[in-house]
Amino acid sequence: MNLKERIFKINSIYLIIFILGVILVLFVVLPVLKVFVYPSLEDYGTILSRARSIRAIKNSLFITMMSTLTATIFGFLYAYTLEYSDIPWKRTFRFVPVLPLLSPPFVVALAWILLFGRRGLITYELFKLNWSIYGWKGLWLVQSIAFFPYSYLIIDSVLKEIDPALEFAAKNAGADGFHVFKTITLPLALPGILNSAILVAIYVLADFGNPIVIAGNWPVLPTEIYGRISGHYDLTGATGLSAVLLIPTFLLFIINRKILGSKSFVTVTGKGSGLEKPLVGKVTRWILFFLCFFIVSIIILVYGILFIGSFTRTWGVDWTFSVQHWNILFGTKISSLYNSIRYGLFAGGGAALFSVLASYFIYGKSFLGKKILDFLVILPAAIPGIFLGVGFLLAFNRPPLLLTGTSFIIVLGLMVWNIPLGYQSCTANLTQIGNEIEEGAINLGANPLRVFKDIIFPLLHLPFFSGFIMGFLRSITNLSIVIFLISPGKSTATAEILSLIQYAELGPAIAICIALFSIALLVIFLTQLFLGKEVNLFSQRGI
Amino acid sequence: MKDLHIKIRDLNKKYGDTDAVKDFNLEVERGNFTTLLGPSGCGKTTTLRIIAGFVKEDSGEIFINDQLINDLPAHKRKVGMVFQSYALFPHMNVFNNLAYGLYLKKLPRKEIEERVKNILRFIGLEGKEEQMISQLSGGQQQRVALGRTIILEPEVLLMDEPLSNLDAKLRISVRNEIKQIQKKLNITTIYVTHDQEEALSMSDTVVVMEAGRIQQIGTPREIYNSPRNKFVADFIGMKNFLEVFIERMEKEKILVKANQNKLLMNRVEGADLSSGEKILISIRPEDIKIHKNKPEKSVFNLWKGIIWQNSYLGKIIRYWIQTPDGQEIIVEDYAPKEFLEGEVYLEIDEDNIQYIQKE
Repeated sequence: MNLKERIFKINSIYLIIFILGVILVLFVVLPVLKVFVYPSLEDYGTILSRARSIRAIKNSLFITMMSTLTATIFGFLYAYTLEYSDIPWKRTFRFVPVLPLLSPPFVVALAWILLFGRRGLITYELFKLNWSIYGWKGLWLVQSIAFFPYSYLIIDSVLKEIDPALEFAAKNAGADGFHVFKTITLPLALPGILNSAILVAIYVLADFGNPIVIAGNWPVLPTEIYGRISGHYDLTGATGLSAVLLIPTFLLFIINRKILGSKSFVTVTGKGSGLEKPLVGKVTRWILFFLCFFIVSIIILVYGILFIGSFTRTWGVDWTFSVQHWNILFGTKISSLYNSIRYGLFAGGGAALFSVLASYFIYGKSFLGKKILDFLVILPAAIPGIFLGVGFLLAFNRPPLLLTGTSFIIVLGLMVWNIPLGYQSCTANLTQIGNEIEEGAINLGANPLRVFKDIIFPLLHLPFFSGFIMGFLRSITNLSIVIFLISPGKSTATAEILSLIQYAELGPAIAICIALFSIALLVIFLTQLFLGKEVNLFSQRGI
Repeated sequence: MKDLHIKIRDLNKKYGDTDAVKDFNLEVERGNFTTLLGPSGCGKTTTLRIIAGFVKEDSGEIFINDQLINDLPAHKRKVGMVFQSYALFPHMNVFNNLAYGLYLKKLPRKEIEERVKNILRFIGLEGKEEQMISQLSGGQQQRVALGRTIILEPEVLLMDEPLSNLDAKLRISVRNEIKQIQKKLNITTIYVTHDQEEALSMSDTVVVMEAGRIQQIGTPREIYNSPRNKFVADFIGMKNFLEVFIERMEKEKILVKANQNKLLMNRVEGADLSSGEKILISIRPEDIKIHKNKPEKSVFNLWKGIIWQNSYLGKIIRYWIQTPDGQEIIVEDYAPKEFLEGEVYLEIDEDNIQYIQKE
């Protein structure tokens, strides 16, 4: 082999790393920087002296604390019940909390409005009350239900990892059930609980769909940012507040990385004992069962009421059966649904491909600047959707990167937003595969590109597919990013839902929600059918 | 005539401040089975990985057939490696695992099939070509790993603790298989292990390493019979280390004193000793005769002692014995007639006293 050939071979790796790096700089770093430098220092002063801005900041922090607390408590109790009791209907209980993750972000809020709104089934119809749920209390309730599934999934996986032998050892030493819980289970699960709380807090801070529907005139940062742009064309105000929003999110993100970095002690003992978990006592069992039953009922009620709502002529006024909302969906709104699916396919596929490439060529190789690139791949997880939307809006609105008004910008925004999730499952898998298989292939004469094609990619096909499918699902249900990037003819289903809600056209909005949700269910069903249990779409490990 | 195949000169590798490999020099003749032996972290695996090209050395030169291979990328080195985990491709069947390297060489399909067939016969896995790796037993996987490497007819075979994933019984039979294959192919092999028995039984040459440095190079017999320092002696399982003073140098013998007891031992060739010096010696437990009563014939190296612990191991009994001057001696009785207790006499043959090093 001559020198020229060798330089080419070595360079082909660096070329890929370089391309990945350029993509990250252009579509992660640039939008973030653009947002930060858009307002001048003076502008920041003006923005922060505005009473409404202060209110939005305070409200955001307040609701984040409240909703995170309740969602985490629900999540913990729910996971604990499923792992430590033998209640009936466990399969249903495991499945139902996944539903909100498959839905556009405002389904719970919409259902709440149908039930407790000004013309709500319960408030108006049943009790003739003039009371409505709009405001922070409604938002709190809605977010607690909408975000507890994340908490449940993370804590559940942590509880699963606790070796029951430890709990039995404590019992053996004389501890009663409550003591075991207090001194063994809870402390061992604590890092996981913290991890889930931080993750939920990041989601709540970034939540746009629920507050825009239900918070009414109670501003939080995402809705205020949106209002600045859509109501006042005030990009300066929007970017300033976006920058403010990124600070707590980013801090939480860093803290979380530190917690995960320092590792929990759950797995210290090495070999699992293969024991069954000790079960809670009879009374506790029933209390926990009814708690879970209550939560599950609410979620089922949410979807049930939406389903009924989509076939009701005018909610709260005319209760007769009607398919007019569905006619609207299949008439003028169907193109937005197609758009959503198209964007979802490209964004999901792109994110999955990028994740696999990045996991091997960035995470799996060592080179100067590796840590920075690795950080940039994960960074979008810390960026609220609304921030990313504003950033893309600013960064690509003039040549040479004029993407505003194209479908491409929407796909790119969604893709970037989905990369961290796929990247994490790819790197976790890569670590499991270990170095030796890769070295084995090299030793047999494969160059690094061959290794990727023949060995790494085939071995990572499961995280690739789950990354693709999760990316697709998250993309078709995303609102906060696409809301700033759509243009006439390029609208998405979620954006259509929002505009219908704003025109008080709840019926067609609900019909589109149900349609999106059905697509998501269908995708999950097909995935399970073709890939079987191998693909665990909802194994949450946190960011 | 010496037919040098691998030459490693002044190899160095640091991880942070730690020397993983320090001033490593080794020459391996064609067809030789050389084992790098040492505890974990001694640098043996790092050395192997440097030769394979997975780790870049800080300095030093590696020659194979007088060709410098330092700057050759790993996939061009023609050194076959068998990994500790086997590193078989789980998504390919046995045939494709064996054929992978041949595919990369873009050999014609027919030749690939022919060679895989031959190798399958060679490793005794005929008829298994369609099976996935996960369907094979540990021993079979190990053979595929070896077959996948030798099918490419590499210049040199590297093996990184290839037996550590097998259970103890299987280990011995696979050990013999590997040795036979190596002899049959007459392929120059560098083998890494921490198991001294494995090293002594398989190798032509043993390289004992510690903390990145070579402690001793020699044939298994040399290593076992004349370990050069305490580390090597300890590592290959020697016991009863005694610090003694040389009291008198005689023509053929040396008189030494361990605490109060005196010992007569043979003169050591190549060691420049003089009276008054402190040296370390060792006596193998099986080389000490244990007597219930004082032997009738006169024996110079006869020590008195008291048994304070014993351990019954089936065909042998191991005794822990304390001499009146406080030395602790382990003795193994390979033909036990009875359990001994209390006071005993130890007879130490002067031929069996092993000089280790100066203190």
